[in-house]
Parts: sequence; structure tokens; C-alpha cells
Amino acid sequence: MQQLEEDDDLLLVVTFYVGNRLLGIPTEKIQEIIKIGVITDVPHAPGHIIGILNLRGRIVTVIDLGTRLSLGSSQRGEEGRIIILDDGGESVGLMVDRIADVIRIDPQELTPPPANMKATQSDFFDTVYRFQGGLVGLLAVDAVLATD
Amino acid sequence: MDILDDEIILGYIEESREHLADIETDLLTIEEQGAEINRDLVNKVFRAAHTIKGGAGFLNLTTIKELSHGVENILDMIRNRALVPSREVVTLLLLSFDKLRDMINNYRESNNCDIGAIAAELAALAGGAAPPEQQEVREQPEQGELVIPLPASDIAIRVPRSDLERATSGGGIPYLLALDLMGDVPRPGVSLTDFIGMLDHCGAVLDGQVALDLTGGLDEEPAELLPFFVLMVSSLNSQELAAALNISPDKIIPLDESVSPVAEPNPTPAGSSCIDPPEQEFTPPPARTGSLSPVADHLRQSTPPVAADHQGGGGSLLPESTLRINVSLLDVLMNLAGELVLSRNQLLQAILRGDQGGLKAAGHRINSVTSELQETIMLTRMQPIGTIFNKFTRVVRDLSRELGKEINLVISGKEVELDKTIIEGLSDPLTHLVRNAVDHGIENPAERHRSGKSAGGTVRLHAYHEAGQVIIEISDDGRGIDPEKVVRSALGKGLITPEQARPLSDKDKRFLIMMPGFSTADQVTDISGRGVGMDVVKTNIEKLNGLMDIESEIGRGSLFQIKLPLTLAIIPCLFVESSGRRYAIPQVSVVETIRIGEAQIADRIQRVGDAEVLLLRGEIIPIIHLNEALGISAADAAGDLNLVIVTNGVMQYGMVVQQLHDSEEIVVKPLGRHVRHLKEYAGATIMGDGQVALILDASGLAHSSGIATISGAARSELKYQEPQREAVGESRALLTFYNGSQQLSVPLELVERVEKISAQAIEYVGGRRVMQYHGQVMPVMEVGDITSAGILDEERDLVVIVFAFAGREFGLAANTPVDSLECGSAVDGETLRQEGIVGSVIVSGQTVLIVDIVAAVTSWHPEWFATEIQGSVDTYLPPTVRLRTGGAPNILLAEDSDFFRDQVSRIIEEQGYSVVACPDGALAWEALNEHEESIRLVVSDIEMPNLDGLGLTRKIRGDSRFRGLPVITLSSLAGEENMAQGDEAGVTRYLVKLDRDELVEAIAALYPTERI
Amino acid sequence: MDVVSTVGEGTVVSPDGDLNEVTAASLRRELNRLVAGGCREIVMDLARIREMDAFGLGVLCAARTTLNREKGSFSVINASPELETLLRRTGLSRHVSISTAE
Repeated sequence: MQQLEEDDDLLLVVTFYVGNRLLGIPTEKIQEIIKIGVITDVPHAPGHIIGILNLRGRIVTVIDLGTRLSLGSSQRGEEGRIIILDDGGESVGLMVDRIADVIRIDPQELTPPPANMKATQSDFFDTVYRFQGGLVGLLAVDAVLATD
Repeated sequence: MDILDDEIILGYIEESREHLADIETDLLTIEEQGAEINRDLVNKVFRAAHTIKGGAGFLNLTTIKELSHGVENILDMIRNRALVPSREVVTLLLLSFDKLRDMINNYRESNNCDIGAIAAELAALAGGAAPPEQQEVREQPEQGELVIPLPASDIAIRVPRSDLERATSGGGIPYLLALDLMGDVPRPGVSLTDFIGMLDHCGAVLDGQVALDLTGGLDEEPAELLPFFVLMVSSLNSQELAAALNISPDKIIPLDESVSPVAEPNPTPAGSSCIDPPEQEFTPPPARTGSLSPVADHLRQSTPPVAADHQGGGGSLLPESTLRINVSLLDVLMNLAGELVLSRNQLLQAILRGDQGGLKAAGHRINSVTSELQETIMLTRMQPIGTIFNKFTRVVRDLSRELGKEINLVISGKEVELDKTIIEGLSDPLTHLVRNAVDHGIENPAERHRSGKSAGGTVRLHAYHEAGQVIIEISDDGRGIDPEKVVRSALGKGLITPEQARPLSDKDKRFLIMMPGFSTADQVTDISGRGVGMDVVKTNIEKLNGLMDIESEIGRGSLFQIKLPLTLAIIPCLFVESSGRRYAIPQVSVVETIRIGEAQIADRIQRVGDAEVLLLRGEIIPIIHLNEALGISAADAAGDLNLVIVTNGVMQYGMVVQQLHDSEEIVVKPLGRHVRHLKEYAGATIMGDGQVALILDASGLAHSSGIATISGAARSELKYQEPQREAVGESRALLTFYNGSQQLSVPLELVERVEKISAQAIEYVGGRRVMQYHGQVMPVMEVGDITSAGILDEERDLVVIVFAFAGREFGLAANTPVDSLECGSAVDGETLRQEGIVGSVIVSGQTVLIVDIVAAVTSWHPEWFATEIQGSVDTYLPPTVRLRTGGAPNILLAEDSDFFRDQVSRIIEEQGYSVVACPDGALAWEALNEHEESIRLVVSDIEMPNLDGLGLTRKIRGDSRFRGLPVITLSSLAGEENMAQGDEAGVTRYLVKLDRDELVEAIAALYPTERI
Repeated sequence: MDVVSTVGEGTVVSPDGDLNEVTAASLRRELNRLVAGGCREIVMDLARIREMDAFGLGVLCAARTTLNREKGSFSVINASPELETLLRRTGLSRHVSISTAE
């Protein structure tokens, strides 16, 4: 990952693809990003939980972000990655299809999610950002990781 | 002699601590047994005291030696039935061992310790020693040292008796000089060195001591005198001596033969000396044999039960700065350290070469090795909770006696392991809770009687694992906690307002006792009041990230529960596999593993309604298929069935899995919050290959599979055909197996585990059959080694039946199917008796032979107990029995104390001999047989387990092969009687322990110079 | 006159000259000051001491007593053979670790 200077006003966001949707999470919430390795299935776990993996001795739950967002399940391809977030002391992973760039966002340019976004999804998006002709949906991480 | 070499003394301290660790429990057991003493147990405690005494003597820890000698006497009397271990006797012993423990922990200061009172008690109880004289001169025959304590001081004059004897043999008179180095040394011109030289001129100075503790500290006014006591022998009389030294004759006290003062010293010494005359009394209180004297009472108050002892100063356990860890863990650590070094080298190289790829690789490697290292080190800190649980037996015993209550303490779950710091942090809160239960919880017998309860109450300490947590429960069947009383008290103290109190549930009300400032006024007693409230307990538990819960019922009892959500808990688990996935089942939940051959499935497994059940030894047990229960895949393939019988504490059920794997100790990792709620799992663990395995929760799995205990109705539906049973005699449980086509069995109680193995698992090393088992090398036998009954078919499935024997594990390779059965009939020990077969039993018309596994092991591999096998197969033998140097041993040493065995071995080796050292007489005999050709001399301790020195000697003498073999015995019991016994047994020379020169000389004298 | 230096956790005191009635008093004050200041490990370096009298011995005793009370440690190093003999024969060596100059 490139070393970008932190500007006080600007937010650094890691963008990634789930399916063909471009999403983003602020870098400060991200612990690390790892390749997809062996994930142990946890039978009877909720549908969006892929399983658990070993991250340097810690057990990390891996969530299929696509499933969670009702965007279709993760492709688990070569480019697939797991974004590890710090969830109140615990580490949780989000599986995505491809990591894109780290961008700098001016928070003032963030706008609320579009009205035509499905109700089931809008909970998971804080805001969106216009970027190079497309939209980056910034994830409401807490909502995504909620255990309801 | 100064305190010796640190290494030697630390070794002694370690060993002593170990001996002392179990003593409390042992003594309490001895007390329980009362007149029906268990001689072995008493011997064990005796040997502990004996060993401590021996080492202390060697290391000049005179006070420790003295006290352990006193204790030893009492124990000797107990084992000879000259004294019954009554409550008073055991209490005294407990106090003595407490004191010994203190001294061992502060060995540097131990020589200054005042044990006068307790030693007097012990002596009085022994009934032998006369009340100490004014000067309290105590004789110590075995090492022959004289101790004269100085008046009003902790310092004592010490001199080997032999020195004194030698000095007085020429007719000299022994004197005790009470000098003042500041006042008595003529000034100017005479230096201290000169003065001491003057003393030397007048006779033989045997010992001199400044009374260190009478000089005061740096912050006090400098004393105007420096008391200095000298024990010397002179042919001058007192007057002459005084004149020669230019001191007042008052300061010279002649001593008679028994080293007591001969004349009444002048009570008002001349001069500025303010040293009190030696008749300063130290009068021990009169000892009343058989009842607790005020001294012991006083001692008990000043030496409170172990628990409280360590509550002072932050409440930590004994300041032990050492830890016992498993050697196998150390091996792992060593390997990891090696790996780290390699990775570091890799890293450095990559940096030098600017090799990006190499950097990455090295980085990865260092990453993983570091975390493994970290984890392994954490593991070394795991301790069983039994270490703190055990001390509560004593706490409850003493406390309940004090309060006049009868209380039984039941402890379970001692083996649950926790990190050392957590255990230390639990010590105080648990102590408080236990004392609470005893003090406030359990009623006195009268009150209990009125409530229709049994006179004695029970307090229960229970520790167990559940869902990745450790749960500790302290419960009692006492009066319970009255929520209303609690509320009233809280209101009275102004801790809550009536409005706040109103909506509280009973449970909430009880929780009020954990508010700061609470403690029901009418219940604060000296014993558990102590200014430590329940709120402190709660805080301490929270510091450990734990939670507390209270359940209680008025009149029935209370339960305090501590839940520790640990990130690190280690438990042994059985690994199983279904549908290609591995799962771990905590060993504590596993009852047994069973394999049912395809042919027997129909018989053993039946359906009751929707459920499947297993018929196991007359019981009906519901079963589930693991993969179905977890919804992984459908039915299991046909063929033999592997079942794990598990229990959730309440009921048992069977779990069909596809494969059974090994048992391992694993680290429990908690599951994240997204999956934590799943009842089926207790956590997860990381296996050796880095993969994650889920840990199954037997109770949760039962729940989710919908297993309920089959109702009585359903049971009666099932007509179970009991197998033909012969006469109802003693029911014997056997494990049956096959050796080829021959069915055999072994007593089930001897079997530790049965594991499936492949034929390749068995290796041959040095001509012996072994296999890798749990990181150890385990010897494996075949039935053919024991008896001729069938031939092991290596083409078929193999199992190894693991036996644990004398602390070691052995395996017996066998063919499947392996089953267990109960034979109601008596074992026929005659008809088919042959070598290796202990008997036979008829089951369902078949004759099943019972293999004599015990005899097989001891006779087939006696050398496993005696010598080290060359090569790499040397890790499973107890390290205490081994050949010390290469080549055949020529001297046999038998000594049970690790410390002494080491010392004596060293001494012998220094002389150029090769030693085989054994920790007891029985093993020594084995070793002697093994090395019949080369051993030329035997050195043996007397007091040893299994076969003592005299027994060994008699065996040697009784065997014509060892005619003329010199036997030297080492003992600290040098009395006439003992020497006579030694002579009778045939001992060649009888030495007192640890006189190095004597031993060397004896060996030199007795070792034969030519072949016999 | 006295050299006081800190070595690791402890303080080394290296008095010079003789330890007699006169010098003992000031050494005593020095040691007291150290202990009052929190020092718990004191090593007495006798390399430069030729002779010691009862007062000097008394200070050593007092130092040991005080440090013992404070659960600290007091030891003696670089004692000349004569001093070592003296300390041994007066029994101080049983309570204080004495090592000689090599």
C-alpha cells in the first residue's frame, strides 16, 4: 500500500470491490488486509459467516461482505482479500473480491446514500462519495458487524 | 561455615519445597485415619522430614535441621505405633511444618530463627527429652553439634561436639566468655586481631559470636558496647584466664561436661557491662503431653493458617520465583528458539543482499515463530488450580474447629489449569469466600439440627471448563442469604435509599453485599471480617476480567460462582473427524471411545422412535451422528462405527464420528462474538499445522440435537436381551481385543486409553518396539511377548492399548475389534493358567483369556526401570535412574533424595568410579541384577521407599552371586541400635551420611582390587 | 574520604583508611543517610581499609541489622586476609557475606 500523507482535513479510505460495487472503509478502522487462506467452517453459524481463521494465534471470524450486504456471495478468487477490522478488541474479517486504491476524501463532499438503494442495504452505508465518475459507498462498519 | 554454593543450596531448597508441598494434605489424611495408620503415608512424611534434615545438616542450616529432627522423632513414634496421630499431635506437626516452610523460604535467616517453643513442644510430646535447662543446651547426636543460644539474642554459639571433645580431652576446661569488644579490649595499642590472638594464647577458641542483634541499627544511638561471646577451652582456671586477658572474672563462665554452667554467675557484673548474666531466663511454658498447650495456641495465633499468612502485603502466594514446567515444553521452546535464530539469519542475509523476496519470506517466518514462541511461553505458566484449592482443606479444618462447627470440604476440578498470575489473583478472593461459607454460611450443629439438617455441613469447591471459560463455584448447604436482611442492612448503612431498594429482585438484593462498605453488622467477626469485604472480592475478580454470580436459597445454602473468561486455558482434548473436518472434544466430557464392528451394529444399535440408541453394558445410551448434528453431510458410510461416549455431567450419549484421532493438550481460544452464541461449540483451537479446529461442547451439542434422556416409557419399550451371565459374583470389567484371531482381554481398570494406529507407527529402536505418543517415546509390547496366544495380524487394523504404570505409559499392540464387557462370573485362575495369562472367564459361551499385563511389564522389561537405553530412546525413563558415565557401572548407589543422590554420585565419580544411581531399593536390586558382572560395591541409604537399605542388604547377602559384595550404608540414624541392625543384615560398613572423607576412604578400602 | 558509587541495584561504599572509633561515626552517618534515602542494597568495599576496631565492627553490625530489618542486603567485599579472619572469628561472617580481595 502506498504511503499517503495524511492531511488533517482529508480522510484516507481503502476502496474495494464486492461484486462490481465499489465500497470503502476509512483506513483508521482497518487493522490489516490479508489474502484468503484456509477458513474453517462453523456449522450452524449465521449465513453471512464464512467461518473462522487463525491470525497469528487469534481466532478471527470471517464475514462474507457480499452476503451481508445482499450483493451476492464472495467470489473467493485470486484477488479476493480479507479486510481485518478491530472490533472492540476482537479482530473480525470481511471478505471482499478485490482491493482497489486508497483514496483521499474530503469529508465535506460526502453525501447520504441514494434513495433508490434497497432498504436492506441502506443501513450498512453511512455515506457515498462521488469518485471518478462512480460512487464509493462508505461502509457503516458497526452496522455491518452487528450481531443482530 | 558460610552458606554454600548457591546452586547446591537452591537445589536443596527446591527439593525441600517439593517435599513440603504435599505434607499438609498428607498430615490431614493421617489425622483422618487416626489409629488405623497408613504406614506408607506416615513413612512418606517421615522421609520428607528426614531428607530435609539431612540436607540441612550438610548445608549448615542448623535450625532447620533441629526442627526437622524434632518432627522426625514424632513421626517415627507414630509409625511405630508408639503415638496416635490425634488432632493435637497433627496440629503440632502442621505448625512445625509451617515453620519449616518459613525457614526454607528464608533459608539465609533460618539459623537465627527462634524455634525454642515449638521444639520444646515436640520434645515434650516425644516424652523423651527433659525440659530444657536454663541455658537450653540442646544435643544433636547425629551431627554432633552443640548449640548454645545467647541470652536475649537470636544468635547462638555453635561448635561440633567432636571439636569440643578433642579440646577437652587434654584436661582443658570449657568456658563461655561474655565480652564487650568495645570495653574489654585495652586501648590504645591492642587491635581486635591482637585481642583475639590473646584468646588463642590462652587456649583453644572454638567459636566466637558478636551478638549482632543487640547492637541496634544505623539509625539508633551507637551502642557503647559490642557483646561478643566466646566458647573456648583452656587449661587455666577462671582467675588465671581473667588475668591473662585483663578482664573481669565475672565475664568468664566455666562450663561442665554437659556444657552447662557450673556456678551461679554473679548477677551484678562489675564494670560498665550491661550484658545480662547468662541465667537470663528462657523458661518454656510447661508442656502438657497430649493436649494443646498455650504455646501451641500462641504459635497458632502468630502463625495463622497458610491462607492468611499470604494475605499480607498484597496477598500473593509464597514468593516462589521458580516454576516447574514440563520438559517437553522446554523442548518446544528450544526448537522455537532455534527457528528464530535461523529466521534472523535469513533476515540479515536478505537485508544485506537487498533481496526483497527473501525479506518477505524471512518476515513471514519470524512472524509465525514469534507467535508460537509467545504462546508456548504462556503455556509454561499454566498451573493446576489444585495448588490453591488444596490449602483450603486446612483452612476449613482449623476454622471450623475454632467455630465449633462440623464442616466437610469437597473439592473437585483440581486439575483445571490457569495462568499463574490468575491463580495468584484468585487466592485471596477464594479464601474470603471459603471463610465466609464456613463462618456465615454453615450453621452450627445445634442450629442445623433444629432445621432438620445433618449436623455437619458441606462446603464445595468446584472448578470446571465451560465454553472457553473457567468456572469456579463455592457452594455451601448452610443458611443461605436472606435478601431482606441484606436490604435492611444496606438501608441501615445508607448505601441505598428505600426507593432504590423497592424495584430490586431477590437476586439484586443479594448482590448488594458486594457494595463497598457493606458487611452485615451482626456478622462481622474476627475471623472473616478483617476489613476485607465482598466488594474487594468482586474487585479482585473483575481485575482478572471475571464475573461473579450469587445464587442462594434461604435455609438451603448458597452458591458463589466465579466465571473467568480466559483467553488462555489449556485442556486435554480428543480429536475426531467427520466429513473431512476435525473437531476437538474436551477430555473431561469424554467417557470412552468405542468401535463397533459392522457385524455387531445390528445388535448394539437400535431405534427407539426417532432416536437411535446404543446398548452399552446394560445401559441405553442415545446417540447422534456428528455430521448430521452439525448438518455437514448426511449419513455415515457403512462399515465399522466409531463412537465417542460423552457426558454433559448429567447424562451420557454417544457421538458417531468417522475417525478417531489422538488426544492432545490444546489451548482454548474463545470464539468471536458472531459465533459465540452457538451452543455446540466451546471455543476453537489452533492445531499443529496452523489450522483451526472447533471445540465441541458436549452439552450444547446434546441440546441442539434434541437429545433428551429417553423417558422411562421408552426404555421399557425396549426389550434388552442381557447376555448370558453366569453366577452373580463379582462383576469384572474387561477390555477385550484380538491378537490375530485369538480373543484376549485385560482388566479394564488398568487401561488408560485405546488408540487406533497404523502399523507404521511402531518403530524399532535399539531392538525394542516403541512408538511416538504425545511427544514421548512409548514402549510397545505385543501379546506374543507375553504369552503364546494368537499372532498379531499387522495387515489388519491395529490399535494400541495404553496402560499407565508407575508414572510411565506402555502400549500393547492389538487387533480390533476392541470392546469392553462386564463378566459377572468369577475369574477362573486355574484351568488355563499359563505364562502371561492370569486367568480366564467365560462370556456368552466363549472362553476369554485374561492377559497378565502387570507381570508382563515388570518381568519383560526390568531394565526399563534400571538403565538408560543407548541412542535416542532415552527420554521416557525417569531421569533419576541412569548410568552416570559411559561404560559399565562398578558402583551401585541407592538413595531416594534427589539432592543426596546427586551429591554422593558426584563424590563417587570424582574418585574415578562409574555409578548407577537408583531412587529406591527395589530399583537398585533390578539394577544390580542387570549389571551383575560389573558392580563391585554398593552404597545405599537406609530409609527408602519400596525396599529399604537393610532389606536390600539382606537380599544381596541372601544371594550367592553377590557373595563378598561390599555394602556401605549411609544413614543419619547413627544409634547403637541401628548399627546392630545393620550388622545383622550384613552391612559391611555403616557410615553416617555426608561425611565426604569417610565415604571416600571407605570406598577406597572396600572396593576389591581383584576380581572375585 | 568515602567513595560511594551505585552499581546496578546496590550502592558500594568504599571507605578509606582505618575503621576506628573516630571514623566509624562518620561512616555510620553516611550509611544511615543512604538507607534513609531508600537504599536497600549496600556493599561495603574494604579494599582501602587497613585496620578495624570494635567500633568499626559495631558499624558493620548496625548496618547489617538495619538492612535486615528493611529486608535489604548488606555484604562485604575486598576484605584483606586479616580483616576476613577477624570478621570470621567474631562470627560476623555467619550473617554477612564476606568476600576477600583476589
